[in-house]
Amino acid sequence: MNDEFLTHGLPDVRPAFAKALQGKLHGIERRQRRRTHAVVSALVVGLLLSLMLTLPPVRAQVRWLLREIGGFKFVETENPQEEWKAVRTAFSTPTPAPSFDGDYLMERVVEAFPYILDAPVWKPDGYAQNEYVIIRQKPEGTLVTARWRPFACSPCETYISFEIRKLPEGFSLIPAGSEGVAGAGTETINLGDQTATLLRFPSTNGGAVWALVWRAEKDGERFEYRLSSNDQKLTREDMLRMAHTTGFGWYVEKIRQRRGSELPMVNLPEILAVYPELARFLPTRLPEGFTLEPQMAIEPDSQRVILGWRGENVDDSGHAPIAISMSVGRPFDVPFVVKPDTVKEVMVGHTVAAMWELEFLREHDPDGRTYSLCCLRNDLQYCLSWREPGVTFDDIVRMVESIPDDAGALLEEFEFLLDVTP
Amino acid sequence: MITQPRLIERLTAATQPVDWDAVFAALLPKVYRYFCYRVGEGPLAEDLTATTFEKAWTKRTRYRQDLSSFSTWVFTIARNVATDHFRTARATAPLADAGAVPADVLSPEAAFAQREHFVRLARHIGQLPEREQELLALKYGAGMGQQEIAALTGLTASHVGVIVHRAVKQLRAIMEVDDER
Repeated sequence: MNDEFLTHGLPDVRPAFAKALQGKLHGIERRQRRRTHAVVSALVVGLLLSLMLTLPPVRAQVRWLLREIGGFKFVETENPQEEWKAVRTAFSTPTPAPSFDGDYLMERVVEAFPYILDAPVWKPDGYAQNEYVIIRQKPEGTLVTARWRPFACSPCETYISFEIRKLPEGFSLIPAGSEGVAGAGTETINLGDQTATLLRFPSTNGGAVWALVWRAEKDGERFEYRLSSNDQKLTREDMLRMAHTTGFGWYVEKIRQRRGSELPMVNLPEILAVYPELARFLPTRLPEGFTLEPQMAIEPDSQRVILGWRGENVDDSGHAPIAISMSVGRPFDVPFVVKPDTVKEVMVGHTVAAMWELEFLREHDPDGRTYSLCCLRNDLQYCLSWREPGVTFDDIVRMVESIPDDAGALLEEFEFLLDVTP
Repeated sequence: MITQPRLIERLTAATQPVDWDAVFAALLPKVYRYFCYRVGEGPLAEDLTATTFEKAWTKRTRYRQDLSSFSTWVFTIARNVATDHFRTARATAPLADAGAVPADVLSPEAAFAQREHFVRLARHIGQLPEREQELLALKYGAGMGQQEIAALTGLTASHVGVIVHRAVKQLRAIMEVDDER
């Protein structure tokens, strides 16, 4: 077939047009890159918030984290050079470790004794944490104690106590037994990798006391833990459940160490195109006008993914901010429902959820209120954060209710996400 | 349930890097000529070409090599852009307007001859049915093979061949009649 006449005289692209178009495309790329950075920042903040706010005591940790992660202090000065010298001097001079002995607010001592954050995350219903941490200097090491008492119980003899003692060099990791405790019944318990001793012995006021003692090594240092209570209603299972939720303060520390590192990001539509079943993780009902942000962050250690949705409202910089963020993944090894006074239980359909306001954001966002809600669905832990106005609690409830019921079946597939990260 | 190795294989295939500058250089003339065939040479073809590349560029992270060739993907976008354009303009034979080339773009005699030929060709292509116009634009404007066109249009390769063959024959006949006038 002679078809040369169809290709003869085909027009060429004007060089000026080609150049202008290429320039325009690179401009788009630069804008996308800036937007991606903004998304990463927002998602990282969301992740940190969702992680740290699942750990009690919420306020103290948040303050500690903000101080640790932020690490900045802005001071106006009339003589910046002199101030700078002073700052440099201060930073180059090692600060002597303060010597604590007495009762202190948690936030005051948490920097010197970060391991206090190892205290149990789960407590029985109705217990409130004493805001003071008791620190005693003993010959065998500093003893740091956190306590909980039944809410509105005063005067009150009932307690749950968690003592941590940093062991001096040479101490073995085998915990003390029931030696010296008259009438004690003992049981050996496996607590993760550690062996613990559970004691039950008579209390001085006629009841009985539970005590669970174990030792563990962390980051080259050895600690002895003692969890005890004189609450007569407390069961053996309650004690073990509490013990299993200790040690998560170190998770916060891990986050702190990870600051500055970027979370792996993947393109969600791309993943969904390859593996559409993953859509079953996602809520199907969104507030009107909201669209899924195509960038998804992966938190490899906890195997959680962090997503965001944008609304239609455009801010001053011309783009719609992420108004809803969600992390979903394997539940932490602890029940997430903590009960500091800022957290309330809400029902999402038949699911119990914990909800709280991120009060500290008010300072930066006086016109809005940001809330978080965490719940378990299908063995997965979902934490959603949203900002009002723009999104309402009812919107979030509808989103959670619309999460397909079979999402939990995908848990085993979660690890594949790690393989596609850069 | 998909196996882990298979999944990784699929995902790995999906995330091979693409040399976007090379892709741009190779596909720009093809896309532009495709639009020249569809809407005529000139600013409109440039506008639609630019729209196509902007969309492709914006969505480029969604492109997956294991699903289709990049060229096919870009031309899918181009065809959608053309469809949108025609839907808006409510005109399906804009080639009659071909020739709106700025005078300072093409130079002297050769350019003039080329332009004359293409203007005439375009005028006649505009007389063909929509589907034939589209297939000629893809084959001779974009320089695509039958297999590629088949992948893009959902027709079989042999069907594409038959339609193009008939369209060329019909077009030649139209041009011969025109020559005799």
